[in-house]
Amino acid sequence: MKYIQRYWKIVVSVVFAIAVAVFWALPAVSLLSYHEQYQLFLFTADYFRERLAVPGGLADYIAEFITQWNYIFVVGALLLALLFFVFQRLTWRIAKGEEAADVWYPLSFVPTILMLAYMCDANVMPSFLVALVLVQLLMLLWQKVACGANSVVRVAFIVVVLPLSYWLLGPVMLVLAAYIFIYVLANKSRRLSPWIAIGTAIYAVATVLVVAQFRPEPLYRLFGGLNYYRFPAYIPWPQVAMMTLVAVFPFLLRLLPAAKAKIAIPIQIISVVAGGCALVFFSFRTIANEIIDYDYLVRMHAWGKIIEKAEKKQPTTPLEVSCVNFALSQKGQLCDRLFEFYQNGGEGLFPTFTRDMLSPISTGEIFYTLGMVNDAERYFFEAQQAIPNFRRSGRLCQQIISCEIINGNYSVARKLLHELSHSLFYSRWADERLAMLGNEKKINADPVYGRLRKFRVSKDYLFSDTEMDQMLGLVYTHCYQNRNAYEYLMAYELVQRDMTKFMEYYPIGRFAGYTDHIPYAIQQALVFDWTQRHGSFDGMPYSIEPQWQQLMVQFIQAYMSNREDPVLSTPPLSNTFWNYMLINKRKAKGTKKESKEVY
Amino acid sequence: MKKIYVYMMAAMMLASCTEKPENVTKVDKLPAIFPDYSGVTIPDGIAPMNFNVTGDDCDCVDVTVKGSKGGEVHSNGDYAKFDLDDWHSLTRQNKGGTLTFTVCVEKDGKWTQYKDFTMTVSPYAIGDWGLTYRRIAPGYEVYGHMGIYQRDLSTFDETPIFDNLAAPGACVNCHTPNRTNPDQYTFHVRGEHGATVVHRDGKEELLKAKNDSIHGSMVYPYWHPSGKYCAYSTNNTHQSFHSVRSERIEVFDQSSDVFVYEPSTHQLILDSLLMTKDHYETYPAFSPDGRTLYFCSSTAEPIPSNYKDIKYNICEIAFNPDNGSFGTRVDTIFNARKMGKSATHPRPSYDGRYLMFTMSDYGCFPIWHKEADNWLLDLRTGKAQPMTAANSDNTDSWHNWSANSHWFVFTSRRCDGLYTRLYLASVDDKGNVSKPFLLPQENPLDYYDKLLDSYNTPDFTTKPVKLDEREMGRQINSDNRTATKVR
Repeated sequence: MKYIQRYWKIVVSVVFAIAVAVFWALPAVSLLSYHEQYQLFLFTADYFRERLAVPGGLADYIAEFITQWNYIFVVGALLLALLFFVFQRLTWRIAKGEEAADVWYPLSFVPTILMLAYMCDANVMPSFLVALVLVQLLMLLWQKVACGANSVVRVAFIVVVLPLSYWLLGPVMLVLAAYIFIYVLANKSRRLSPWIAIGTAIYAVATVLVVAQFRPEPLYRLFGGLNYYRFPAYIPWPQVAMMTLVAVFPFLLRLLPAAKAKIAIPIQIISVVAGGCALVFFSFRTIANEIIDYDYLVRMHAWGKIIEKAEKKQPTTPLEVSCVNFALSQKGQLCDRLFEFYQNGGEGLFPTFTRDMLSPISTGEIFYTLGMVNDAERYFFEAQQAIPNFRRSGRLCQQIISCEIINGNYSVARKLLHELSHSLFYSRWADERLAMLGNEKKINADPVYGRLRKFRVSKDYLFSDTEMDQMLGLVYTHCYQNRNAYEYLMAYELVQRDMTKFMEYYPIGRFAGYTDHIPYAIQQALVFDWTQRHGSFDGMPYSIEPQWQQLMVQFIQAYMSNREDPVLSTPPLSNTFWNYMLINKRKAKGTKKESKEVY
Repeated sequence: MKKIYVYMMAAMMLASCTEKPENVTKVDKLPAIFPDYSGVTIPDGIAPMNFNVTGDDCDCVDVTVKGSKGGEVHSNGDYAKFDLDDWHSLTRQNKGGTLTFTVCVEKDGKWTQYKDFTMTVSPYAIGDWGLTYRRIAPGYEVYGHMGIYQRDLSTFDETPIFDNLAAPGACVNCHTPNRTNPDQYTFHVRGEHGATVVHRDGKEELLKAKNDSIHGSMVYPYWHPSGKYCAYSTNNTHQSFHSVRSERIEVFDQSSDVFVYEPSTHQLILDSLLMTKDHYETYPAFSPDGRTLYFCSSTAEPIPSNYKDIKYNICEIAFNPDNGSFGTRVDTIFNARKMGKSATHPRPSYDGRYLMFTMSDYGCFPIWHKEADNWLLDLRTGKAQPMTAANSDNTDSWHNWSANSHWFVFTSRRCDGLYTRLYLASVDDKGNVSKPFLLPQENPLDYYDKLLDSYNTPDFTTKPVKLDEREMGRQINSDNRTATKVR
């Protein structure tokens, strides 16, 4: 009992940290990958100098050092859990310094849980958490200075620490300033001059204004943080709320009266756990995180998991649909199972290019696999340029370098590899590629590079996203081993409901090497085309399996008698091209423009 | 404890390279250096022409530079790095002479002395304080961190004129002073808060990015020497992407016209001869006397199907600066189409003798054309020829003259085929063009290897450009714009 009384707090904190680690390592692993892929931590003096050259740079540096470990997801999850653990413990230590009663210990998890919920937004940077943790340490230090030191030391602390913490940690310095302000006013018994409070407030604001004279960023960013949120033009209100909470929370806990531990603690634990789980659950379950999850699975080449995920919940956004179709193609099932999943026209195969950092990645991967190397590189490059806080991406660098190597641009590849070789987790890959440069034999023998060099067209054409089928036709006819290109071509015509072009391109599939069966969706389309012009299957020149003929008959009967017949909207009939062609006629969204003006 | 210090000192001495060449073996070949500064012509007062020895790793590089008119500088270290003041003294002393570089390289304890190479110090000073340029990653449509910067040519100092940190999401381009004088300049802001910035009389004015009368934005600018006018083109520019390994991007205009803007009245001066439907007119440039407007013109062809048939000639039309009116006739002064080529980006030297332009196989945007070379048209004889000494196998384009017309800066992809770098070269009184040199950096190999930006639209500047970045950022975000009107 004595043991429990003595250690229950740390045990609860450790259990919490384990739960946080599990959260990051399992359901939220894609967020770890997301953070990792939009930075490239380099072990160079230049990188350190570059970070330290801006307000909040040390917090960025530490956070990016930690985030690089997300490459090994378990380690990343553990490090992040450790940060949350420290954050919670420091929250309590500071509150304890303000004479909060032990009985309210479970409430000290509230800021941490709120922070966890806030970080379910994948664009909240770990820098913010690191900065908060470090500023909490300074708050603790202030407690010591305020209690034990004389007024000269107190003033010196404020004069030195506020600007220093602003430069190193960013505007969380304002949390420290607010804390000192409240501390002075709330602890009258300690006889601290109210001028310290007023002076601190003025000094903190003046610090930011002085720094502003040397920085080009707008003032609101200098007050809101240059890298606490990935999108620089936006300071989210939860960030401001979190900063406020960290400053005032110790005093709020102090205000709570004494209570009976046997009742208060279990009630708090149940409330905090239930409320926290609900909050994190709803913060995490967003469409944005679903898309991030698909991107993560593409990154991992977890084709089976993508298909499983889609089987459980049909994807609807073009990006998700394209990932599912990509996974099907990688499993050799694209034209077999195409209509088992929701389709939204050509967008579901090649989503329209958007100027963001996420969607071009998986589309770039599709182009890459198809051997459309230049287009793949463009998408990777654009994704990298779209990273709003101007960081580099290890994942995208690798892809861009691979495209340069395939294209034989070794000087550019070498330059980019030099950068990558200063990273922790990409350096080995970079060194291997550096050794490969210029060695045509070795590159051609590489299973990926060699294959893609064969797939890459030698006769030039200009990319046109309104003529995807023509480009796929050129790619496929350049190398008939590129069966994926043929399947994408067929799938494209089918999802576009373009039977004329489908029938035009179908015959070139004879070079694709199908020996087992004609892909099912293609069979369905062939039967469909035949029945448009013939009253029976007699004389049909294609190798159509009997099951599709029977299902076609079944479909026609149901369709002709009642278009609302439930049998049409349940498998197997719902999972057919006929259903997509005749029942699900929703036009593919977003007509593509000819080309965009760039000036 | 003393021992530790001794060991540390010894280790530091071993780690740094300060040994003098001994038992040197001479070889009859030039050292492999980056940048290739052998045989280049430089102006006096340029930043030290530091360089790195490339190829196999070496332990130490010892370089002695002797001037034909006296003076000597020495460098010993990981790369050739010269003291700024000593270097300036040497180049000043040897103006019109040559500098001879003796390079010794130590590897595995053995010293090798390479064949000496020389640099010529031009009798012509560069005249301008430095360069302005945009730095941006060589991308496609999306841009990240970028800005317009300026560089002191006598040192390695680079400072931002405007960095898009000050206006998140903004893209800035085409910074153009009036004959290198930054008292007047213009540049564009693209993105959500688009504008054309015009700086004159000590203040900035932000014009509406688009005007319906010209069916687009103001694009390629060129100041009238009087400062009363600025010519712009308006281009409906698109880009597409190649599929073969050797090519990347194709930029083409689907329409373009030329007009003149009068800042004092905010009026656009349009003329039907510069806004024809069956031709694309672009890249305007005033002659030094301000009485002629040069521009490029191509017949309009179906785009994108016939994009390779777009070939520009260089034309001229008279301009009367007194009333801002144009002549009634357009003349072709260089017919590139006849040669099966396309001539773009005409830039007359400020002394009125030459007109430099870029020649490519087709199109209006040679920056992505490997075959693009710079040419020089002698305006007195009408003869044009490629600037062979300055051109390379890769893209050479986007040039501008120094104020004294003896130097020019241009961009080239010759280093690695992708990242454009700045090169400077001179033209003497006889029209001889020197071998260009890469813009010097303190540690060039390291600097250029790490630099992931391309240089765009370089120009000279007589003095540092002064612009309050934060204030400009605020103005860009404010969306307060001055409307232009057609005269």
